[in-house]
Amino acid sequence: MTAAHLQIGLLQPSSISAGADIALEIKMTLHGSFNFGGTAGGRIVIELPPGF
Amino acid sequence: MPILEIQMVESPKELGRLEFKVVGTNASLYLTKNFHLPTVSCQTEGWLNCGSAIILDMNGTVEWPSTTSISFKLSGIRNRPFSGPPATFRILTMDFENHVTDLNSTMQLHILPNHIRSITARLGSDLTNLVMGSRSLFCLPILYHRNVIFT
Repeated sequence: MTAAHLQIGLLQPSSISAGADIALEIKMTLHGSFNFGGTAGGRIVIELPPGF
Repeated sequence: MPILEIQMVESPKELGRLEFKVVGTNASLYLTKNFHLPTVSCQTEGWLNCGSAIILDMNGTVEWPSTTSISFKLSGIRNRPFSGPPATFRILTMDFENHVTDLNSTMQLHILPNHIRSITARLGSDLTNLVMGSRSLFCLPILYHRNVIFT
């Protein structure tokens, strides 16, 4: 099973200064369906870079 | 467009584990639960070597089809405390059997230095016998740190 390419429209931190407390806004468009009806659901995983 | 706004509940008490909560959503058809980081074995690897992740478990039974647009706002995240190489995020979706259905690992942030914007150094008096060229001045803070005064 090959994963579709998730399209990220926006990955916008409120600050890019090192060590800053931020809010991170992400907008994305799915190209692979998940969470099909009658199943136990799916999940979204956001892996943060080392040091975050 | 489904919108999920997520906020960290409290400061992490152990490495690799953060608690998040939903503070706003308009996706009433898409029930959500358990915004948390799993326990990961960061204790021996160290924080800088061990990545962390935010996992959103979807509890609903309504399909999220292809072309569905989703917007997240995650708060309570702290940027890496140093600049340097780009910080790469990996975002993926998984189905109920943990098969990856969507993947993006190309998103990068370029972190800017924060505190020290410029620095000058002068030598302490006990180093006056050393013969130095212009290059060695930059080596001295490492070799003779206690004798170099930063202003």
